[in-house]
Amino acid sequence: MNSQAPPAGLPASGAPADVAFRRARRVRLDTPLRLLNVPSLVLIAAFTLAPIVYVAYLSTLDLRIGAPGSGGFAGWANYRFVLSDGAVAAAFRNTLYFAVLSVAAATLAGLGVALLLDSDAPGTGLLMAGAVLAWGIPEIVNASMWQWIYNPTFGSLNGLLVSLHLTDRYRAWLSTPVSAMHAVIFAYTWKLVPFVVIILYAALRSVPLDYYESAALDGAGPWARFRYVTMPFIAPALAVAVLFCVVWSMRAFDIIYVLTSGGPGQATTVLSYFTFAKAFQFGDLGAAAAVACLLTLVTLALTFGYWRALPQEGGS
Amino acid sequence: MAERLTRRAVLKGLGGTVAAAGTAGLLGGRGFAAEPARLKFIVWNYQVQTVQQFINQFEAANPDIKVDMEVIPGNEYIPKIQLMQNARTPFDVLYVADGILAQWSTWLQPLDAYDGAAALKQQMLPVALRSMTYKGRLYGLPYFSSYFALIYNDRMLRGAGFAAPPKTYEEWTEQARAIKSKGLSKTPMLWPVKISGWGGIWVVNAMAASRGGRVLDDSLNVTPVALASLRWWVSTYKEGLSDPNGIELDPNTSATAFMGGDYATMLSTSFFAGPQWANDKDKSKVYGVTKLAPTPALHRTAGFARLYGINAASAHKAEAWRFVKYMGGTDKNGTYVTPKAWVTSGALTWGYRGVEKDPTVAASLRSWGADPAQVEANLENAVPMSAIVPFQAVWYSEWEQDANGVLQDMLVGRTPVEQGAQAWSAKAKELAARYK
Repeated sequence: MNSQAPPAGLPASGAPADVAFRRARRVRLDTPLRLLNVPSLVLIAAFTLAPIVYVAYLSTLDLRIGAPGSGGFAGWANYRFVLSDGAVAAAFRNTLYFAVLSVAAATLAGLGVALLLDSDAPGTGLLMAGAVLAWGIPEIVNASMWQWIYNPTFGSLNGLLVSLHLTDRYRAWLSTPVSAMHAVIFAYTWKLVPFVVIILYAALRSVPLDYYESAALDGAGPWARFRYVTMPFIAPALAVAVLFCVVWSMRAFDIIYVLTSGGPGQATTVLSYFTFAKAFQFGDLGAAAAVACLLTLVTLALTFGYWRALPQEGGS
Repeated sequence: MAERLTRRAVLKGLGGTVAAAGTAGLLGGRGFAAEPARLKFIVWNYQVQTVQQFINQFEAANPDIKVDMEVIPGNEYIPKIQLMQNARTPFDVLYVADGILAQWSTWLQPLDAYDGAAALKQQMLPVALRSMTYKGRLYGLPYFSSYFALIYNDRMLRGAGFAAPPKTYEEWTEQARAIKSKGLSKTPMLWPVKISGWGGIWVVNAMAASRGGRVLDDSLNVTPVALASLRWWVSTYKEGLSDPNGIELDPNTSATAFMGGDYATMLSTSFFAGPQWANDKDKSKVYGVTKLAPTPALHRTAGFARLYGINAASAHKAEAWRFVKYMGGTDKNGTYVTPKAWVTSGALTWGYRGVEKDPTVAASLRSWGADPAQVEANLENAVPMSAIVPFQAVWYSEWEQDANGVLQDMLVGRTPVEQGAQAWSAKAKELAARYK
């Protein structure tokens, strides 16, 4: 769709000579450029890979603070323990539910807002400013803000609903498993939507207007234009946005920590919160490290599977 | 004429300063005046200005010691300390909650052998001494000790025709029904039952203690007394006498809610009735009408303590002990300086016998309607948490969080009491086996 004629003097794209030429040039140009990546690779190794390796090492140790005989090599014992623990299974289910719902909601809402912004309707500037502002709020501040909004005795949500006569009394939104989980998802999605908006809005602005004009001349309605013009153009950006949202949602912590501490019961205990509690509240560092490793593996598997499922460049 | 300020001049000056500092060091600068020992003191965020005043007083009396206070928010305190400890971050003295003492005993300094410790132990209230002792060793001096009490809105009770707070659980229910039926409160009873932090299980502990029993027996089964307490408690939710919003409230936020004046009773720690909370004339709608009463039934209750501990890795343990002795015990004259001051400034009760006899302490308690003799009797007879639940097992904090979740389910009727009790017992046995 975006292919253009090659500049004069160069072979047509895809010809063997062209491929060989481009490969040779890439090697010459890329070698010094790749060296520029070394500092960032070193930093990634030091601050990301090394901690991961260390956590994997911890997961093979018996590290229960205060427990007699703790401190030795445990092999796979921590993994056997956490895989047989019903609380871990429940946290895993909660994590998946939380991630699926928040990513789906953020993607749909983000797409809607991005389309609205792209329409250049009155007030879209303010909407964009609002989206950026929400994105700029630190996660812990966002969580604290929602804690006030949901407060059962003086929360603004209750105040609003009562003043609109939609309910006659203040409700404890975080006191039942169903309402707590969805309240947490809503608060988290609110923070996630601006990211999707910004990514998709940038992609929408890159769609050439003449494609829409051509489609309109061919009799395509709004839905057809969206389906056959807009979506193919923004699909790569959408894929990246979803990917990031999945990864972030799988490791969401702040919102749970502040709003529910995993309750009521274990209803909102996700794996990241479970890991935190296991390590730093209960002192079972080995089991916590094992859960963290499993969460990393699950996230990697989901990400890899999703990436593999995406169409390759040049594909349909 | 002044020398013109140039980069060269600045560098020269800087070089001279560094050289002078180095020379002074070589000549033994420390020899001129001994540097005071610096103690790093970690606290959670309760009345830090008061704590700083104590530090200032201590430093004035002990010029060879300087104390640097570091404040950690209460809800992050335990994880942060564990992180600091794991990372070998140096600190000397810290607040310790009795519920975490077993885990932290591996790196806290036993205090029994220090000068004056034996004499202080002689004066300690049983609840304080037992809460600070693990496997026969004393790991702290009391920051405060407290107990669970019935905190009630006297105006609301009188409005419903009751001249005195309930003395039995049945009477408590009847009073709540009357208050509700007269429209004085939609839900007269308020309980702190948030899943994290001390709350729900502590209330059960207080109820079990008030009936003269425990929550878990030696075999880690839930006792009949605990079951009776749970059944009564659940019944108050079923009747709409207890506010279900309490599930989101920890002790602090439930005390704040009580201050709004919509509730008749709350079972929580005694200091929430103090002038900093329900009897705060500026912030509380129940100022002057909030009173303390013993728990119903046998009037026994659960007690606990918070303590000052010393990091065994401290390089200044002798100085740290002097500081802890001042903060959690007596000054050089044998006076309980901070225990008395905490009563007046924070409504925090003491860990030593006889403090209530101090005229200032007694007057402070009376100023908000507390009877010093009754407070003393409750403290003297308070049952330590470790006599009600396996409070000093290293796995206790994990059990408590899990049990709090199950308790929430029981209270709102999602889990029957018997099934919830079995879940408590099963979890305790599972953890005990893991930490055997």
